Amino acid sequence: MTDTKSIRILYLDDEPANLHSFRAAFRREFRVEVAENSEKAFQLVRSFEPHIIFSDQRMPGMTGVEFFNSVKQIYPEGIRVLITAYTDVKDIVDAVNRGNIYRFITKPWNEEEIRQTIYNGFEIYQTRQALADKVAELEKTNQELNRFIYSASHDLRAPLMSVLGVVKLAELDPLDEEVAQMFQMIESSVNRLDIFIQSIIEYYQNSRDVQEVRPIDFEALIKDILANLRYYDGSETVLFKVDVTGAQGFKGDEFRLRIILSNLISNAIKYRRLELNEHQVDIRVQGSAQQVTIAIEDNGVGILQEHMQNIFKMFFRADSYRSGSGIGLYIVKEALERIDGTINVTSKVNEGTLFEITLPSLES
Amino acid sequence: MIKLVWMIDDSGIDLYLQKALMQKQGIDADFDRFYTVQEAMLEMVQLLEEKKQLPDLILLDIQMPGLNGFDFLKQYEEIVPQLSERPLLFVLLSSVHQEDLRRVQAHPLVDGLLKKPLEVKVLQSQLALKTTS
Repeated sequence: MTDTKSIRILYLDDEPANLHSFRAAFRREFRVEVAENSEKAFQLVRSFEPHIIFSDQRMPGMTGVEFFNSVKQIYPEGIRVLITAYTDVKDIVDAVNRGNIYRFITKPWNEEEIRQTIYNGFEIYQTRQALADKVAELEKTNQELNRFIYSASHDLRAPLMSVLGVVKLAELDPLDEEVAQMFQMIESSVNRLDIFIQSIIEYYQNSRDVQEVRPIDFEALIKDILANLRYYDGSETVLFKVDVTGAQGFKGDEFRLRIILSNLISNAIKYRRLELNEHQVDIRVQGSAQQVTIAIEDNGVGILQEHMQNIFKMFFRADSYRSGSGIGLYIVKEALERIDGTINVTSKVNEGTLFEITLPSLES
Repeated sequence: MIKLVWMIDDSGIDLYLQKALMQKQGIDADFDRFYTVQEAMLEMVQLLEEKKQLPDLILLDIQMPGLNGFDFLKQYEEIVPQLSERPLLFVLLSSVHQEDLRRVQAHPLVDGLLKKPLEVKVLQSQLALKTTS
């Protein structure tokens, strides 16, 4: 139990006799300061930082409710208790409802009621304080973690790109076939790792609140995404069909749209059915200036019904022989939430998967 | 025609790679390596004083310990007015820092942006664009 002497109480009343008896009743138990007018009370609020503030309602100049309304602005942490003789009921009810007053006590007060109010109020004060501290601490840790992941990802990339450079350099010379194959393996592993690192960076960037809204040219956007994916393992074997109808004047967050589409399209490539000769990915955009639907359909391996509910979870991977990191669809879901989009999946094993996204146009 | 190339990069492997990749793919020039921004700056000042030939092309890394690529650009800005002919300057980036990208792209003294590992074909086509325009 906290030493009660550490609990700071402020009492505001225009009648000296009330102040006197209040102080006499509680000064041995708590640290008590009193004020005869609101001016002095405001001063004490700032300098004394009381945990609990009592105020009489009826005073010349300012009522207790008015006093508390102002105190809440400058010192919201203090627990505010009004002492009243049941006048101005409407004002009081109002103030309580707006959260400006924690409790009211009717006059004449008795010691036990005040004491109980102090203990309860102080407990609430402490709980709120602890919660606020925890929240601040969590936010800080979260930020630090994100920053760490971000900078670590970049530091990882630099040596990785050196490795890739060495491989490219070696490949400039004619190589023994087996050695050439080994270099190929190094290169594709490096690329896989790099894609993973980049998706971590994407995740970080997505987690920040910045949003740049501008008109979206879906044809150009998809063309660009496909161009970026041309080195993606297996993409040369896939036939892409792109069809954009309508959607003129649609405004969106291009950065997040790019994250979403490139993750879904690269998944469609990754989860192609290797035994097929013709891999196909259809990308259809349809809509108006207010809303678009984007469908990404493949004839790949499909998703087992039992996995459907898990595919958007972080680090979920349905099988271990594909090179997924389990972060792609999680990022898709997170990015969609940021731009008020929704996603639907239909899939049949060994036939293919259809992802359908619906997006509202955003205001710039 | 590129006769002298400067490469400023704190990574010895990357310096070796850039030179070898360029040499093997038909860039017949002399190559000078600088591990720090200070080294490169000292050399540049000295060349200016002795009125000697400056490089035709500078390949600049951005993320370096101590003074980084942006610090180089800042000092370089002050030298540029004294130059009769400005070397072409390309920035080489391994990072995908949005912030870095934006800063590099917006910089008036940067003629181009290349990703690591250096793709010589991309460099050559960008050089061709710059020298014809």
